[in-house]
Amino acid sequence: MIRAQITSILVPVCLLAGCGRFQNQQAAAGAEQRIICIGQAYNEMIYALGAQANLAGVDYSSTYPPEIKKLPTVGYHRALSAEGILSLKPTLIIHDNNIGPENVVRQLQALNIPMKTFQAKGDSVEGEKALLREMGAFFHKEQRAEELSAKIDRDMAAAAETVKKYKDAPRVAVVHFGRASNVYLIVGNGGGGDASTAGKMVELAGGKMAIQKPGMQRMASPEIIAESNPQVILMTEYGFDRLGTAEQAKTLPGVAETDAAKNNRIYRVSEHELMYFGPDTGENILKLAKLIHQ
Amino acid sequence: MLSANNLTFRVGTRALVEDVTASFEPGRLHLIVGANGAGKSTLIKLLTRLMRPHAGTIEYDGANIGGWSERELARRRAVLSQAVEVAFSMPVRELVMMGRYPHFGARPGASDLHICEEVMRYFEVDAMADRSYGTLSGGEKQRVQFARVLAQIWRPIEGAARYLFLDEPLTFLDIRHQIDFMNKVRSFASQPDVVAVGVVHDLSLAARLLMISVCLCINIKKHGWRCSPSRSKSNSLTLFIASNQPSTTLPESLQAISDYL
Amino acid sequence: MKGRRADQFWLLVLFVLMIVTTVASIRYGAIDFSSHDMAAAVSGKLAGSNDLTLDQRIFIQLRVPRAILCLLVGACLGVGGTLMQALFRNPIVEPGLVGTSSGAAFGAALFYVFGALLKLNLGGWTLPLAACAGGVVSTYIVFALAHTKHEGRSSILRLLLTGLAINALFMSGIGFLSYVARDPQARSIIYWNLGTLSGADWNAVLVVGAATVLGLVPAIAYAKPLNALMIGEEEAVALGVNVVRLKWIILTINVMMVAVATAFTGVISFVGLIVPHILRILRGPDNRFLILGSALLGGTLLSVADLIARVSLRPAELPIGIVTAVVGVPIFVSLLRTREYLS
Repeated sequence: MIRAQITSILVPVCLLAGCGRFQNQQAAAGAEQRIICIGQAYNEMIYALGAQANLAGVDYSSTYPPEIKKLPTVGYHRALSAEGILSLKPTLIIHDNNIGPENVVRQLQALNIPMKTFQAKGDSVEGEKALLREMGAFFHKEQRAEELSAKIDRDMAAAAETVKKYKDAPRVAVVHFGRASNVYLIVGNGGGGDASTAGKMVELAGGKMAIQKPGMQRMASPEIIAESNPQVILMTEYGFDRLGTAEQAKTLPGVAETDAAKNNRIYRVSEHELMYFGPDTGENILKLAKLIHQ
Repeated sequence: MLSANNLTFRVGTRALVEDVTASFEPGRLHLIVGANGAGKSTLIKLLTRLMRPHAGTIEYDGANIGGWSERELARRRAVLSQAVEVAFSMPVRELVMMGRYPHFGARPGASDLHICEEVMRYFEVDAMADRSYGTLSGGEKQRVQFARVLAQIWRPIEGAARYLFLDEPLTFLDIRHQIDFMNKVRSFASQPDVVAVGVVHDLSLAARLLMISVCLCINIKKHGWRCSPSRSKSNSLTLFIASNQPSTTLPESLQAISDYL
Repeated sequence: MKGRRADQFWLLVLFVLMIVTTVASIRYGAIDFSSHDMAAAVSGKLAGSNDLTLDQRIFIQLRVPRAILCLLVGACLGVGGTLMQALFRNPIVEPGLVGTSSGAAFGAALFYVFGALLKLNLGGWTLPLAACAGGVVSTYIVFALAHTKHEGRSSILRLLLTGLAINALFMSGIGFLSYVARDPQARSIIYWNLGTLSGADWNAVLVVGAATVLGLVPAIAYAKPLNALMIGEEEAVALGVNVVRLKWIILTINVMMVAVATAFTGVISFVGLIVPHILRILRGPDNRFLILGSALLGGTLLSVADLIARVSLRPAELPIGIVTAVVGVPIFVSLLRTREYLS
């Protein structure tokens, strides 16, 4: 109970930290479609496709691109409320099958609210392109979808070229901050969900994941990261900002002993650039390649 | 009339009370005094049925109380204990009214209210009737408890005796109040339908009452009690002496008491 | 008698307060309904019309059951708190102390992590059943461990300590499940532990309503013997109370009400702690007032908390556990400072 209460203090702090978003006025009704899209990857793609005109509301975790923060938010994607969503008068709810609580989903279904999820899964580069095309078809932005796919291909090719120039594959550790459980997580290679994306991105950027064990582990013990001795540490922005600077980052268990810390190669990376595939993936991989090999 | 027949109470293999038979008549106060560990408290608890004996029976007016319900028993007998811990503070009046709980259903009747007033006056706590119990001194609290307990058996019951037990209730009272209380209890106990039995730790207090009418040699562990009433100035107090030794004789115990006095 | 009339007066005040907050919680929220909307929705539904607008359907299917569930859950938690504090003769006792809340939370956590593996699927009932089962099982374990052979009277202190130990056990179990769970499941567990009324529907109202009535009626009937317990178990026996039976009955009522309520809403803390406190400061510890009073005040407090949860960040929602803490604790602290009431 105490843990829950500590979390309960931090959660509203987090929520309120995204201040301003909760007072957003609703977009003028009059647009034919009012879409609520829940899923940070989906929302990023919608903006990339230029299909955001009909967006009426998004979930709290959707923070990229920055202009999305002007839209009203329906809350955390696993703590939704049917009424809250419906108060925005949506004609359609798009989600990535990762919404909760289950009761609320059932309530929306009972009220016959149109809900949609896309078939393609953006858990690989190919999957990302398929998803772009599917979304492009849905939003009638097929041409833009093609452009984005082509860009991904180009960037990937460029990245592959760049990677060939480097002889070595540095060991890379990815540190993410799990907001739900309020802990630092070290990302392994593979496993479900977000974890596998980071691994794939790093590999494509010519690096090697320092932790091979799949899934995300808590950084409870210093051995976890010290043993693998990464040469580069990438930290997602939320976790990095909590500590402040790269120097502060060295205070996490086991980090100070690593080559990465000794050579001051701890970098701040945006979550959307590393943890999920998106329209900028090719570009991101290129950036990543340059970053880890510099 | 209260009679105990062949009472035995064991803890493990040790008998705290062994084969004790005794009777207590109404109209007088019976006090049990004696060394610690002699079994006095255990005996009282058995007589009040707050504990059940392993062998033997207890009879109130010839009826075995073993099968009575808690409520039936509560209407006939009341127990005055040592310091009672009250979990949440409430007005004194409400605490005293608890003594009437065995007598009414959901809400007290007019007679219950009258009884509470009378009994609070008797113990001189009527002035603080509306005060919160938690704000009282230790002695005042004890007097409120007395009022509550006596309220349980304040009025005579048609065709039955009332039973009052005291389990070392004099803690926290100053000497004036101790004497006062014992006098009040003794006068309550002198009613012809009240049987009163008590354990008092302080022998000198018993002595102060000056009215030791009968001395008996009791061996709580064996042979039961012998009661031989004798003529004396007061017929209102009977003193029982509890002893651990198997063969304390009457003269020896009398000697001990007179030494003490 | 002056005391009695004051009791009735305050019960009336609490009742009116409850009605007012219920009306507010039906009216306001992410969507604010006008009286016209509400009347149209109700009359339409009663006429069996299939033509209701979406807003009207939201009103009937989501808003009204939620408002009622607030009252019922608040009542269960409030009464549970009163019963437990009377039983344990201690004001720092929560209904969840005998293991019920943590057991329910553990049941829910099991459902979140392993629910997909078990073929058993009862739709919307699976989670509440898992939580209720968890609550009942953990409470039973606590009793079984704390029961002494000595005349069948389980000491209250032993019960408290065993409850604490079992709570710790289940909380670490939940911690472990959160650890091994995939991220979305872990988040579900955490949010469930903060409590929410967002899953309210008419089925929940029915079940929790039944539990509330089945618990409240005997609780009120046993109010007087519960009073006697305030001066100690032995004294209560001397006053004619069958203490062993009383303890079992009160504990059963508590488990039923709290486990069922928690099963539908997740763990909501503080209500069971604060409601009896406030009422005791107001009117003293007489359970004949407290039990009904805490049903009313518990419902009111939770409705206020839910209203704040729904409105303050709309269209998003705060978990209600945060609101009950923020709303309840200052009230408790300020009341505690104005009047000394513990003996």
